[in-house]
Amino acid sequence: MTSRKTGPPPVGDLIARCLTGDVRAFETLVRTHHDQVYGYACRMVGPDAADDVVQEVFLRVYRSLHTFRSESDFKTWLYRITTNACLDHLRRMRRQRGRFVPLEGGGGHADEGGPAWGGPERPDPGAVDPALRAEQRELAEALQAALGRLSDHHRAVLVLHDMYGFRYDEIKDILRCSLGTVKSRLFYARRALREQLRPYLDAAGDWPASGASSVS
Amino acid sequence: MRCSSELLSAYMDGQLPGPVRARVRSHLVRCAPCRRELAELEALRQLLAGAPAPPPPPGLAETIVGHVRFREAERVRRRPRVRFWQGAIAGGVAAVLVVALWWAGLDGLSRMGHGSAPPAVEAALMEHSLYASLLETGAGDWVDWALVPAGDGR
Repeated sequence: MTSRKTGPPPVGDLIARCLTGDVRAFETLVRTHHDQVYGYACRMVGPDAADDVVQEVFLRVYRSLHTFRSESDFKTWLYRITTNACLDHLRRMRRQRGRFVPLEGGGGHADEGGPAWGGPERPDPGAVDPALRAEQRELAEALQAALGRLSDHHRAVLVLHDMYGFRYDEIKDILRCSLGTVKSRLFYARRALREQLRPYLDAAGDWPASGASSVS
Repeated sequence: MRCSSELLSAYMDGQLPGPVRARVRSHLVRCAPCRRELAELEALRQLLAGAPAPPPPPGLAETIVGHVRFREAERVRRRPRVRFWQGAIAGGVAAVLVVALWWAGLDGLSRMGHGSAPPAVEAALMEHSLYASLLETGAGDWVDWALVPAGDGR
């Protein structure tokens, strides 16, 4: 008997199985997508609130799977739900705390001594140069703080395009706005971020670690 | 062409139509500040694309599935009770509405016949309608018209 290595089943199959009450299929769906959703939620609401938002996202996904049309793109649909959950959370926080909501925990879930958001591998702290680690952490915190100063909608467009690699037309579908709005929000978000991160841009935009992986 | 940061942002993303793109390209050849700005924009894009993704905390997938299971179980557990109360409330409201409409209808009917005009006018109307109906049915033939004030019902 030979065992074959296979990737996760196609999303359409998983959803069909979920709709018949197959809990394992839903678990697979969560395992396949939760890390990306978590990363996006971190950028949108900050890591302290991201856990709760991601749980809310998958609850909404579970409850609205029957509305998903197979001809649509699942990733776009998932990011639309995530964006809405993030915006709802931020609105709720603003009602509770006042207008400004800082994105707490800019350093992420980094372990003591580990790099801030040092990628899924979580490198052994002993293997990373402390000076480099401090530099990484400083940049990660500066980036998260700069993102937090953008308006929610500007931040969403910027993160989706420049960090997650979505195209303009996909962002238009996720945020249900026009292409012109996407273009203009991206321009304003970049302009604001460029001002705030200028000291780091002088180093040709490179992250302090050569092994830093793209998330898009 | 004048300097435009917005056009540079769209130019970097390849989102400009051909003729505009060509104009921006030729502008960049002549304009050093715009070249610097484009270089900064590209550095920013590189910085953002290379930012390490925040890794999810260990066990988040299990927490999510557990949360969804719990909330769904809670929803199922609550559903019959909610339905019962919703039904009871809806039934009560409907009953009150029916009684209120019935009452309003009766009241309205009675008001159409009585009390919708001053007593003197109402009395005159009643007399008029009575005489008119007597004339129409022929019953007026045996009415003693001498008793009826002149001009009324004839």
